[in-house]
Amino acid sequence: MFISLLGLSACDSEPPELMKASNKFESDEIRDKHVAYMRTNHMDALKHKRDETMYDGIRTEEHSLNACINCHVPESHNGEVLRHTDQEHFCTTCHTYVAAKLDCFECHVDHPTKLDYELKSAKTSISQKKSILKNMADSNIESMQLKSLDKKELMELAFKHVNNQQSTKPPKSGGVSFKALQNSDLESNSSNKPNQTQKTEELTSE
Amino acid sequence: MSSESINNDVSKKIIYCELENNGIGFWSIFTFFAVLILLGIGAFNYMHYHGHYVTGMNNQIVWGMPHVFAIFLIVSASGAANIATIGTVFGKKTYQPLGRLSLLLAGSLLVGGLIVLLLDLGKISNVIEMAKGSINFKSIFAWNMILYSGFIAIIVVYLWTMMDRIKSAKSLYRPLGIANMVWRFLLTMGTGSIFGFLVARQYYDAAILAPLFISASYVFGTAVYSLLIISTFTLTKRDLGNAVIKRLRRSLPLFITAVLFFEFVRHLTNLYATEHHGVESYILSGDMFSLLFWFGQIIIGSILPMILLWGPWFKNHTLALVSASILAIIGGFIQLYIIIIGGQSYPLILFPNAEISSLFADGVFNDYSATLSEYLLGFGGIGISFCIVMIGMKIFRMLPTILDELS
Amino acid sequence: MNNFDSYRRNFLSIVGITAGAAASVTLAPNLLLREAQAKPDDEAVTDAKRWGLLINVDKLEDGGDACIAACKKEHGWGDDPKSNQAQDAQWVRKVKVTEKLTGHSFSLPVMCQHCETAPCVDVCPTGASMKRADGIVQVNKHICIGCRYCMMACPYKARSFVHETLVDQRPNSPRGKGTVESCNLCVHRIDKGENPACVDSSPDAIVFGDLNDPDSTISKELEQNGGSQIRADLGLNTGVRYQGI
Repeated sequence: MFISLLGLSACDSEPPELMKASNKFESDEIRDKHVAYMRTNHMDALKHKRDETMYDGIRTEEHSLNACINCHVPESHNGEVLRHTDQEHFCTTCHTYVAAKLDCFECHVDHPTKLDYELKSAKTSISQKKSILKNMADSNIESMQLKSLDKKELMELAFKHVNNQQSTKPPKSGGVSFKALQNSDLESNSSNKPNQTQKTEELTSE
Repeated sequence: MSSESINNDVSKKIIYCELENNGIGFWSIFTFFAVLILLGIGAFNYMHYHGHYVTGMNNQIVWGMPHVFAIFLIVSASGAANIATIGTVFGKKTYQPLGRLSLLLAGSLLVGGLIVLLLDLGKISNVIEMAKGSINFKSIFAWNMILYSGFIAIIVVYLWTMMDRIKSAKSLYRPLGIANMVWRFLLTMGTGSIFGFLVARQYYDAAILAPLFISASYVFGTAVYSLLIISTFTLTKRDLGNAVIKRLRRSLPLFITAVLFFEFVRHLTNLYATEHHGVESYILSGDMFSLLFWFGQIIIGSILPMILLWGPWFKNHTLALVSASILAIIGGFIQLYIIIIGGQSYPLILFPNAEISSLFADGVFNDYSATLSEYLLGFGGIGISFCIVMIGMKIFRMLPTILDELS
Repeated sequence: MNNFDSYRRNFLSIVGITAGAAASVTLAPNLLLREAQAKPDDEAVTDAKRWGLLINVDKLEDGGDACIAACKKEHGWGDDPKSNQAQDAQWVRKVKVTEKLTGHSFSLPVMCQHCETAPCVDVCPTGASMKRADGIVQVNKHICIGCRYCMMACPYKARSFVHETLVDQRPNSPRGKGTVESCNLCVHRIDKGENPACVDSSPDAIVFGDLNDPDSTISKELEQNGGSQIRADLGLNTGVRYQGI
């Protein structure tokens, strides 16, 4: 009882400073919307997604825990892996503040981990991403008249394109490099906000 | 006598009263059980903090000593309520005054057993998901959860019908006695079916485990209850009288006979089926488990108590009943140990008529030795059960002051 | 919908870099043929498919060592620091079988057999032990209470219990203390249209595919040459079949 009263009295004070995410939103307005939505709904969104993935095999980036981690937790912090047991960890900072138990990381990994084959193709995919992002702003969707293509086809087109560009043929690594590209492009979009002008500096810093 | 109540069920007046404050005696026994609880809590914390690698359990012996304790407590809970059933349903006057304590003991044993079972789970925090609706009703575990909570609910109402003097309570007394009896059958069958329905394991997968557990529950329950009333009456200097002792002396070996019968049939069936020869010879003519079976379960747990109680040498000896009960409890515990640990110790048969081996203990007899924390967790459950019993006897009028002239 | 639009915009932009719009349209049909297996990320799995494995023990020269290593690498099990050997997780293991009378001997990898009527699913009190619509049996660790009843029920000893706190799990294969785990047929790879890791490690000996589709490689091979189940007497209709046992 006493503790909960303490908690109430703390509500007026400012929430703790959280670690910066690695990707940036197009505008502050979009970012603020994302922050506001996630502050109140992240647990429901994650839980909904968790059941969709477990039972239906739906593995989109939206509300995927791995996507959250990849953006919100740095690959290394002061030269070391940042774990959920550290106070600076994005999730831990806030969960400690509100005294809510954090259960995800009993099983899920708490920091970004590149799979081996992703590491191999990481370099090409970054240069790829850069050129793509530069061109992204110029593209004119309507003139292409491809509205009838569904998402799967679009992915395949992009997949093919990346393969051609890299001239490394194995379809698997091509697919993965595309996957990596898709990851970093869409993470910041996962809160329903499109983003076409992602900063290239973010990507080169990898 | 601080307060008194009159039970109208029995033609003669029976005076029930709470345990009087017996000073050192009561509190030192209570402290003993409370310390058991504390040790159990410590063991739970240790196991839960580190994970199950600190126990003797592993991927082969997945259920260990805590489960032996828990299932013993749960099975004996069902049997302990039998005294109340006999009094109510079969109208045996001798047992009626003892019904209240029988139900209190049954409820307490069940709670103790369930807590041990709960505290051994790997991820207790996820139990809340079951409350939110994640229940698979095809699972015998899920049925058992309903059976266990229903049993406690029935006990509470049944106790009320015994203790309240208003009319509605009296009219419900017998129906609840019958409900309790039927529910107990289902409950013990459910517990036996946990093992009975496992197709994978050679030693389980037999529906006869359900009646075996039912008869075992009578043995465990009667033995625990006998010890409880004898010690309580002696320590509080009340007169237990010979009638009850006589009945208990006659019924306990009868129940043991029933257990022996079901064990005999079970092993005989298994011995007839070639596919079970391996596991039968492992249990009946192997090393450790055979020793436990023949000396522990059969000689100490069954033959000796039968001699003590049926033999002409110890007639009307309370001590004979006490020692027979202790032996029956030890034997019952060993019986569950053989079923639970021995059944898992025998390897799975992936390919009949072939020898198999792997780095994952295929084709070998699995070893198990319980660690201290597992024992302490189990004893903690016993502590919980008897702390509840003692508190119950202290604040409610559970026991009659005198039993002798009845029946 | 917003998401969909953003996907579309980004991908179309990528396409726009080199190729013209018309060229892209003509490219599309060829591509569709190549990646027939992948399901769209946002589409739920259905029971139209039933995934299965066919393991040819004769062609598996190492008895399964390579696929066990691939599984360890993919899921990160097998090296839990504090557990002893009997406690360490074992999603797949190499079992050596020697017939008593004839002395005939062979080795095979044994893992979750992905039964159609799985005993582990029946006994689980919470429904954490589950079978997905496409036949994959797995543990939903979010609701697993760690009672280990499924381990008692499994005839193949395919399940392991995590006995200690773990860190640095694989991102696609969460594992944690107090829950039960087993082979999930690399469900995260299947959802992306890839093969399970063990299949890629021994492509000549292990076939992966849809048992419900009579034209799939696995179904044709099974129809022609058959495939046995371990403990077929239990009638579990397993999704993992063997040749040469």
